Amino acid sequence: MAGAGHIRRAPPGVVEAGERRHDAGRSERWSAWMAAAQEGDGQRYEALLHEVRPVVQAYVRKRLPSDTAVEDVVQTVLLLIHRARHSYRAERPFEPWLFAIAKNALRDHQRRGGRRARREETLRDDLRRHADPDAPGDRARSASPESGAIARELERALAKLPASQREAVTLLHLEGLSVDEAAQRVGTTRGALKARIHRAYVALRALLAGDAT
Amino acid sequence: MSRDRTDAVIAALGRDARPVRRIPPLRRQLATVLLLAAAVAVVVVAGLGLRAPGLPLLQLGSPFLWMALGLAAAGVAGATSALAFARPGREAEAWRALALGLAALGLAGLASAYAVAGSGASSEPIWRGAPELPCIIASLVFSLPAALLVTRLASRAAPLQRGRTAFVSAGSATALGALAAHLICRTPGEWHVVVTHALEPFVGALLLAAPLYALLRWWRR
Repeated sequence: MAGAGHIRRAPPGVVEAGERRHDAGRSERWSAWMAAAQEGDGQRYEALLHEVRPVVQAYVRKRLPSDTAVEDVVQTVLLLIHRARHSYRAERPFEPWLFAIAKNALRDHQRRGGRRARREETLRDDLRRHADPDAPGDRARSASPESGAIARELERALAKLPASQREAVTLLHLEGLSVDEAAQRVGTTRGALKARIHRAYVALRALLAGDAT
Repeated sequence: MSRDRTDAVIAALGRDARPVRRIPPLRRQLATVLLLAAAVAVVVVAGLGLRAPGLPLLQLGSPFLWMALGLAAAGVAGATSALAFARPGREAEAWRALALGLAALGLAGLASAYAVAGSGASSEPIWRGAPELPCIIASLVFSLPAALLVTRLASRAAPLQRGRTAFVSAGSATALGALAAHLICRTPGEWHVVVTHALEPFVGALLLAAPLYALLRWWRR
């Protein structure tokens, strides 16, 4: 069990088979362990999570390219299992319950990743336009060597912002949270966060304009 | 290392394995919703009386009866779907129930339209505008108890797709509310019974989904 977390990347076909392949009685064992976990049995619960982990890893790895992202999603799935454990009923098979949670966590991760990528692109485009007003705003250039310099320029400007504004920019643009999620994270209202991010944009614009001149 | 963090997460979750109260079976939750909806319908009919001319409306093959059956089926299937959407791993069941409910409502609409067309009332206007509104408002009001209950029960499970759960909860509760409104409806016209009453669950789904979504989030905190 201890080594289960260190399985290496396998060819897609093998992973596909591995996702659903299981030893005889695994489903019954997991159902029983989850039922015990619902009663407060921490040992069986931990054993269940250790057994479930490589299965979830294989499922997620097949759909995500980065190992770090895979572990992030696996941890999210484990937390969601914990949060939703009361919703499992032992008379039903365990795997559909598990894979529904994994699928949802993966979808959330991908949605958030897409949103983050789009926002980073927009920021880079804005910066590039600022650095060279005659340059076209094509996104294909975002992967060019100048993007490193742009990122450093942005990083320096961000570091000069007040902590609350920097946090707002980081949550919205780098972590890809929505305004509601970011407001919840920092413990403020949606309106206050929007005001904070607006002030951050104004400050960033001024800082970047100063750098350019 | 991220993998070490995953081990730490598992150890922490193991330590936090307090006993939890398992959610009741879906059928029991569904029965509670239907009992509440039936109680609302009984109170409403007892207070306001059946639509004129009363019991003769319930004769076999009448548009009124077809639509009552369609709304009841849509309400039951929709509530099943909403409660199943709130339980991980039961999405297929939820989609099936939703499809069944929509099909039942569609068939009831077609059957009652056919019955109206055959009754010589086809010259009536299909939509009367503002006079249709009280019936729609009544269906929304009568749906509120079931909407709140379905949402509460869903929040106690683990709705992974809150928007979908809220939308289906709203539509199913409005179908049950529309059934109560259908029984006591005073708006004249045979087409009103067919067209407006069949549309009410969709209107309810559109209008109530956002508040139910907010409630679902609030109760899930």
